[in-house]
Amino acid sequence: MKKYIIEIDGQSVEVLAQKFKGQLWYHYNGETNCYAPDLNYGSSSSSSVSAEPGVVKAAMPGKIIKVKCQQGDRVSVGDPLVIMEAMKMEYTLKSDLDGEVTELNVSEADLVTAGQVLARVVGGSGEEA
Amino acid sequence: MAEVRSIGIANRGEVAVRIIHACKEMGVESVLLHSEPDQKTRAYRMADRAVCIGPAASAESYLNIEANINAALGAGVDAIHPGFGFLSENADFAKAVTDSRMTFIGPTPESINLFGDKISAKNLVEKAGGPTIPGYQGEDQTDETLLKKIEEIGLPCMVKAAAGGGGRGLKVVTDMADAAEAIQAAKREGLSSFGSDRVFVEKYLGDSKHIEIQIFGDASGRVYALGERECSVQRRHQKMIEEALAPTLSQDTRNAMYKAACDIGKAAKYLGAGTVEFLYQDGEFYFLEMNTRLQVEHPVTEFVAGVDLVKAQIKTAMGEALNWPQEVVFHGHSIECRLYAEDAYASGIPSTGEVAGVQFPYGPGRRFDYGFEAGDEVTGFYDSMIAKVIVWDETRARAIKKMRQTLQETVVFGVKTNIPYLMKILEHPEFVDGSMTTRFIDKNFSEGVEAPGLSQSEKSAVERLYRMVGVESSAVKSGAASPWTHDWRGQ
Repeated sequence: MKKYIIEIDGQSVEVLAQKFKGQLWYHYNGETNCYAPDLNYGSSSSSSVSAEPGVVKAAMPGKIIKVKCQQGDRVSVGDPLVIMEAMKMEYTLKSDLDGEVTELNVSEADLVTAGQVLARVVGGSGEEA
Repeated sequence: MAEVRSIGIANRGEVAVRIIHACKEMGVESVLLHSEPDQKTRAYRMADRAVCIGPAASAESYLNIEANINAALGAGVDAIHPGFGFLSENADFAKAVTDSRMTFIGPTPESINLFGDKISAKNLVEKAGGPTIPGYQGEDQTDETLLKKIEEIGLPCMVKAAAGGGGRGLKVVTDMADAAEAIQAAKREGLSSFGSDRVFVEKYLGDSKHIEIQIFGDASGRVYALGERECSVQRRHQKMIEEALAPTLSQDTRNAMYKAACDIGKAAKYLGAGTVEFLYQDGEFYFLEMNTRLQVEHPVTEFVAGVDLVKAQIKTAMGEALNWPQEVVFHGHSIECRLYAEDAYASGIPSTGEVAGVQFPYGPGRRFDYGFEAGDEVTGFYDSMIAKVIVWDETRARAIKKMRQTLQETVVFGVKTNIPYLMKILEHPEFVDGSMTTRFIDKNFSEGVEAPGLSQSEKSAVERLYRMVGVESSAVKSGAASPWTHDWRGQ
């Protein structure tokens, strides 16, 4: 962990931060939190989140609410793949790659465990293939 | 006099580290008896030697008597310290250690058995003149007798397995219609979890404080009372915050409790560290149980009594008397918070994985007992307690302030901790005024704690930081000695 100075509302503040397994851990104003772009702020992500591009994992145990893609679909960065519910909140798991959904392991109402691979996206454009 | 030059530690985590510290200070070799995954823990790196006793599952390693004995004999240790939990209150283990011509750092197997059985413990306390919870612990175990006793004692009451503990084999009866079923359930759980279906009945104290007395029987046969600890802040029988001394006891009650605890220790010819637990309600105290080992929360006693309990245990194993004053004088106030690897904002689900980094902010009157550092693995196989933060100050109010400040400066990256939860407890009026009872958590924190929201500008700052940390980490490595990295001017 290292100290960083960032600006919030025009004020320079000191933050201890460290990137670890794709997540940003930061300690600011007496509190520790972690952040990953594909999840909400605060506590709801977990250290089992995959840092591997294209691998969509459940960050925590929960239930699949909706499947927004099918195997073989072409997707772009930011496209929603799966919506899951965990800890009474909904999370949309989005593709972090442009590519093809090569694996889809869940359907609606499935219960999943933390770390379970829900889908895989393999990068690359159709033209190159 | 037993010679102790080398001690096998049949435990893990922060308590193993605690014992290693004592060994080093006394010039005794420490040998860690550990499971396979625990090579990635601080105790493994600190011990003079380490011997693997088996795979991750406790039943095959930390609870495996034969594996521990064989490893200890192979390593040639003179004594075994069992820490707390695992085999620390297992009379068969204590006996196996002694039978193998090693010294068990703890009481005799007879003492462990005596207090391990809640009925024999209660009988001993009554014989020693100690106060017990009104109830029935007779030999007649028929439903008919037990039901009659429940009616006599009055509702609500508890049916408990004699060999039980930690809330298992314990049933609360609030309606006579459910009593027969409660008796059966307590018997079943007692038999399946502890191998005995004997039960006893006690009046249920609804709103009591958990207050325990640290006692110590030294090698010369003296029994010391080292003050009390209050541990009322508990969640599902798991303690979260402990302190010494208790904030609201009168000096008379205190003295009466010390005397009762010492009498129990003397009646049992108790050797070593032990804790007599009492429930305290409406000005009266009642014996709950006796723990025949070092407690997790021993550091708060060490702070206020000015003693070292682990070194005292080792000295006792060596046959040395402790020359503590019979009337121990207490100084100031000490509080301990247990750090659990769990998600405070998600009803406390365990958080496992690799520890990315830790920062323990040392300062006057601050103590950190911890078992994990950067690169260590917190696994789901064991208890989720990763560290204890202990503070001392002149008064309780100052100790609370110091604890809050210390927790705000404590950093654990990689796994989540219950620090946000502890912070909320420390500012709750019932904790601050010291009136909390064992129902405190249920009453005030049944919903857990909520994650704080971030303002829009904080969110964008975090997003910027996310990009910055990734991009600039290599630049920092190759760059100047300064650990500071500056953000570009806000967009």
